[in-house]
Amino acid sequence: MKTGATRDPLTIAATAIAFVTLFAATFPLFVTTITAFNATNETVFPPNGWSLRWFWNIAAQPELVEAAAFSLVLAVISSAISISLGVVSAVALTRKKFPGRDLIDAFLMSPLLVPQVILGLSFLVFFVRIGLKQPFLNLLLPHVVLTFPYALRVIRSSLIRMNPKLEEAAVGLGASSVKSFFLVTFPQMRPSLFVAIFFCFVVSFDNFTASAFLTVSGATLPVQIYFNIESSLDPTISAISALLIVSSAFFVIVADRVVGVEKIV
Amino acid sequence: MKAKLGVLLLLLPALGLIAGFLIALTSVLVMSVLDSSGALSLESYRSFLGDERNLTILFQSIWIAFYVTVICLILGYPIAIAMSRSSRTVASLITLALAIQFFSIYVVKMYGWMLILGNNGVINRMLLGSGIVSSPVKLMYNELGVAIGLTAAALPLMVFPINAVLQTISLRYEEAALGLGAGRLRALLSITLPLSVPGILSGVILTFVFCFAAYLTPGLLGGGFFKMIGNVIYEQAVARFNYSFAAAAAVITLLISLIAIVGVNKASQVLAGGRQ
Repeated sequence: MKTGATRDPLTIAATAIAFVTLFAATFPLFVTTITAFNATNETVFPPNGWSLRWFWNIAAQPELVEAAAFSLVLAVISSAISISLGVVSAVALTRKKFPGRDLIDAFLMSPLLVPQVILGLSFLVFFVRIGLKQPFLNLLLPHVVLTFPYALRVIRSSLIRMNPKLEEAAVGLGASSVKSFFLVTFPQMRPSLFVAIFFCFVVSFDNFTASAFLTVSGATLPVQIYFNIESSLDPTISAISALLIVSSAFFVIVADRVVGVEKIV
Repeated sequence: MKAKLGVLLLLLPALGLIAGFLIALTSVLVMSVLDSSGALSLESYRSFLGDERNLTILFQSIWIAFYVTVICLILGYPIAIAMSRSSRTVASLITLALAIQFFSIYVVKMYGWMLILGNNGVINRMLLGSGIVSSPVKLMYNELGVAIGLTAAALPLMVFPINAVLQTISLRYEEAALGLGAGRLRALLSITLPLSVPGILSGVILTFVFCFAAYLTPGLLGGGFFKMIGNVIYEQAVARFNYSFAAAAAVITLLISLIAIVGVNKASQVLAGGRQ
């Protein structure tokens, strides 16, 4: 089917537009990475000499290191919570028929409809009202709210595609329903769990807009980078950015190898 | 009965989580109708809507979100076409590039654009170096910079839903049109384009709402010279502790987003109805 359309002039034109646009869209990532190797404190492209000093300088900025560790822990814990909730809720929503199921589904997906600025403000106002000022918890709750719908959507769609008869067969052969879930259903869920973990981790680790409302002292990495950009533009920001660009590109390529890139877009 | 109870038990944690979020959202609604003493009043709405500067920012947020959405559609539709019709190698190369761009850290992407558009950035160094201009051209800390940043950040939001729909449309329909004597462009515009409207709709809605309520991009690439409604909400809430005013601005933002979502859906129904 595809091959017939490949040589069509319209497809060629569309491909040309895609290449030019994507070159422009990814060029800043390339520039950022290269500027991290500047020799002087000017963040310019092409660099005015080469050095690795700005990478070492990351370690000399404790607020960046602390923010990175904080974001990592936050992303791991919020993803773990969202995935667990996602598995349990997806099983309930797909395996059992009950009135109001679609309504509950829409309700659980509702955080994705609200712009992040408003989500951030909501939690800020809420925490101020109830007097909860706890840097980690104040971010954990919104991050779980933000990542959970992605986990639910991915896991739910994989459960819908599965054949429930297989699990029934296991039960018919004498396995308990819990045992048949772990022996039959869970192994089939693995690719979707991988995708869900990927999404949750990235959504949490990358989150800036909602988090900016909720970090007064314990800043997340994106918020800390934002503050640093506003105060100075020395190449240390390029260095940490380069590390982030290379690692997210690495994870996208791993995801492409494991489940295929079309599963994560 | 027992099974239903079990389902409820399984759903309880997630329902509690999202209920917590809706309570937080409601607290913004409540906060927006309270004055500084805690009494019921529309003071915050009056002071937001009564100040011409806020209205200007609100309208320029709607306007920039509108035209960035149009630009993303014009650039994004061909990308989605290329993803669904090129040879397998080319298509996966395009998808991979778009995924790498999409999953890069948002603040890092915008920082990258600052390195391109700034006075000492890639473009200005090229222009100055080749002698085309004698002083740097202002490409950021203005509306142009914010529009470029928003287009780059929102482009995947437009491409992915359109691509998802295009993947499901069989090329046989277009081939039938070609067989009946239609040109290739005509076949694309009158067969594939209408069939891909659901994807375009989701893309348009995602892109518009994302751009309209943006805060990071105007913060960095507008640099305080070009503000959007997100910047007003953030400044009022975080820097001035003026929660009530920020809440009123947030409610207005949410309302406009909802009106846009409903409006886009209605417009597409009218268009679909007009064709039949």
